[in-house]
Amino acid sequence: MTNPDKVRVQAQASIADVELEKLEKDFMRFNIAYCACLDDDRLEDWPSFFPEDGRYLIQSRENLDAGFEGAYWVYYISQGMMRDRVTSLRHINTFNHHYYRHQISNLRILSVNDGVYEVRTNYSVVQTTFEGKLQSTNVGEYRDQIYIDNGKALFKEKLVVPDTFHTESAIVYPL
Amino acid sequence: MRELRGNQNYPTCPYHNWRYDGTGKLLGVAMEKGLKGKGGYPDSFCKEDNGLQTLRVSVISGVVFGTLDPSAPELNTFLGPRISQRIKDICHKPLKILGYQRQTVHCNWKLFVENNRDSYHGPQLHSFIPQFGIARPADQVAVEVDGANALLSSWLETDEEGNIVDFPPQQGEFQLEDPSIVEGFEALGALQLSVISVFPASLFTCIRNAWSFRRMIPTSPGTTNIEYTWFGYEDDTEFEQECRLKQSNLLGPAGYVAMEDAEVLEMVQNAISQGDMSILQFGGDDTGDTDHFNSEASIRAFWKGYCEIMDIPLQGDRS
Repeated sequence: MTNPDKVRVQAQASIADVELEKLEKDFMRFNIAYCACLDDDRLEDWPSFFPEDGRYLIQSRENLDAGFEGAYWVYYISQGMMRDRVTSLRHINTFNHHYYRHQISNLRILSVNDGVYEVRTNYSVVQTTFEGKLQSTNVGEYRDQIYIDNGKALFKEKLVVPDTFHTESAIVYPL
Repeated sequence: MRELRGNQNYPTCPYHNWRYDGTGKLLGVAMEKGLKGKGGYPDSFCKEDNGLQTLRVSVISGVVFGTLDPSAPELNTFLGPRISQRIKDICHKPLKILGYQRQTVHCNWKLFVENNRDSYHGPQLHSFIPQFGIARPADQVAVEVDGANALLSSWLETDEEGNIVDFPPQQGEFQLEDPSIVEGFEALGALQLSVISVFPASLFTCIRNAWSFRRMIPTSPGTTNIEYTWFGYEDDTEFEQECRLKQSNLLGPAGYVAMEDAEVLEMVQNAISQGDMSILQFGGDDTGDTDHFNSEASIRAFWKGYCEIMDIPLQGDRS
C-alpha cells in the first residue's frame, strides 16, 4: 500500500505551492458540482463527470484494508454502465424515493502522473426518506483520479470508499 | 474479539482475565485461589467444567460448517445428499475469497429467508433483467427439498454434444449501453443458478458467475444483518474475475436486483406488523420437489422445520 504521507511530500515537491492551491480549489469545485448533481436529483448529468471509459467504483474500507480484490458494491467501468444505471433507476427499479445530501471536506492532492491527479476528499452522505425522516448516513473517502480535458475536469476514476461499510437498507443512488 | 477478523491462540476475556486455548479449554483464572488464602473460588471449582461453548465443525470441500448443538445430525445427513453434492460441485477446486459486504435489512429474518427461497417473485419484482432483454430462458429448472433445506437450480439449453446453445439477444423495452455487465463464462457446464438455502438462516447464491455465501443474523424482531462472503476460484483468469465483478453489480446492497428485495421486505414487515393475517397456498400444500418455480414448497419446508424446532404443532401435516 502507498504511504499517503510519502506521496503527499512528493506531490508538494512536484507541484508549485501556488499551482497546488489553485488545483485544490478547482478540484473542490469539481467535486462540489458532482455532489450537487446528485443532491439535486439530476441523475442524468452524473455520467458526464466521467469520460467514455471512466470508472465509478464503490469498495468498502473493510475490503480495501484487508486486501480483498472483489465484492465492490458498484463496479462500473464505462460511462455506458453509468447511463444504464440511470435508465434503470428512472424507469425500471422499484425503491422508496429518498433524498441525498452530500458534505465534502479535506480535499488533498496526493500526486500527479501524466496529467492525472490523485485526489482524496472526505465525504458524508445523509439520506432522508420520502416522508422526511432521517434514514442513514454513509461516511468515507473519495479516492479520485482527475484530469483536465479542454479546460474541463473529468474523473478518470472515482473510487468511493465507505468507512460505513455496513450499510442500512440499500444503496440506490450513486454516493 | 475487538477487531473484525484475526487469529487468537489464547483468547482472553478482558473483564476478569480468564484465558482459554484455541479449543475453548479454560487455561487460567485470575485469583482462582484468592489472595493470601482469602477469597477466590471454592475448592469445587473446576476449570474443565468452565470452558467456552465449543463448535462442532464439519468441512465440505474447504467450506467449514459449525453448530453449537451437540445433538445435531451429521452434516451430510443434515444437508441431504443433493445439497452436499452441489456444494462439492461448486467447491470442486480451491476457492478464493473476493471480499465481504454487510447490510441491515429492516425486516424479520424469516422474511429474508422466505425471500431467498421464493422462486415466484423474481420476474415480477426484478424487472431489470426482462426490461433490458437480458433474460436467458432456462431449459430446465428444479426445486429440490431435503428436510428444511432447499436447492433451486436452473440449466441452459445444450445440444447433443453437451454444448450450450447460443441464445440471440432479445429486444427488451430498454437497451443496455454496455451489455458487458452480463458477460460471463461457463464454470459448471449448463448450470447457471444454484440457490442453496441451508436451514435455518444461511445460503449460497451462485447466480451465473456472481457467487456468494450469505448469513442472516437477526438483530431485533424487525431487523436482520446480512453478511455476504463473495468468492471465486483461486485459478480464475483475469477475464473470469472481471466477469464476476461486473455481474455482482446485480447483487449486494447496491445491486440492481438485490436493492429491491431490501425495499420490498421492509414494506412487507410494516404490513405484517399490523397483525392482520391471511393464508394462501401457492403451488400446492406439500414440500415435495418440483420441476418448475411456481410453487412455495421450499418456503413450506422452512416453516415446517421452524415449527419443529420451536415446538409449534403443525396442523394438517402433509409431508
